[in-house]
Amino acid sequence: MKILVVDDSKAMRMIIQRTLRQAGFTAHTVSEASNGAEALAALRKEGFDLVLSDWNMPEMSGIELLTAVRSANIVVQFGFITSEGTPAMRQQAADAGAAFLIAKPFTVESFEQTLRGVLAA
Amino acid sequence: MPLDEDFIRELTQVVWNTVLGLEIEPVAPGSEDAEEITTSVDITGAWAGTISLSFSRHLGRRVAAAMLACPESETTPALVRDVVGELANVIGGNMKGVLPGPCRLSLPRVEGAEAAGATHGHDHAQRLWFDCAGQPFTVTVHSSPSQLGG
Repeated sequence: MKILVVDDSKAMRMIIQRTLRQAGFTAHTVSEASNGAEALAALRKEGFDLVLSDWNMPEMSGIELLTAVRSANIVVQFGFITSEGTPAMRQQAADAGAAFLIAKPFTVESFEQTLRGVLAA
Repeated sequence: MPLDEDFIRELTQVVWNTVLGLEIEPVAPGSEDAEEITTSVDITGAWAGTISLSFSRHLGRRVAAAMLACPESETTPALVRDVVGELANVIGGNMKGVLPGPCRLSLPRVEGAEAAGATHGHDHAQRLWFDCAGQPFTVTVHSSPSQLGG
């Protein structure tokens, strides 16, 4: 599967990729984008199977990205990895079409549990 | 009060342990001379204030190396800024999660020594001191005047 990791922190993009490997998800191609606008351009250019996106980013936030993706009829599974995991934000994410929200700080176990079904598909 | 000292202390320890794999200990207040890097996020809305973390440059390199799983010699000032900003983002985001009412979290800022300990625009601050591998750092919650008594 092709995964697009979207986060304005380079360090966090590296950690997400490392955690994916540690959770056993090694047979996937991972690309990076540093904000929602960059991610949207990548999604329009090539197909991805899964987007793992931060919420709070410059240029275009994660929820704005998800809304734009759905408006453009781009078919891709979408999940948030964000420090803001309130019930209200989880509901907002689900209403916009997100499949899941992983809260930071996350663990290898939380990645494994949340992504097991998504990446096994 | 949602952001009491026990919550701030426990959250900071969890983030340090989970994100960095480093143990930290609460310590008594000490000198602010070593605060060379300050990273902050603002929370606005039903609760308003600023969350700041202040470190020495040495500890900044140490936490960057821990987060990136690389030797300290491979860290750069840009990576240190990125890592400490992300720490403020994670701590601030989790604090926002326990605050009442709708709030908004800013993007993190990272500033040099000249901003360390700044409390401009706020008149109430809780500051907690920690030790990480022999290096002190602080976590400060500056709340706006409108939050006092609430």
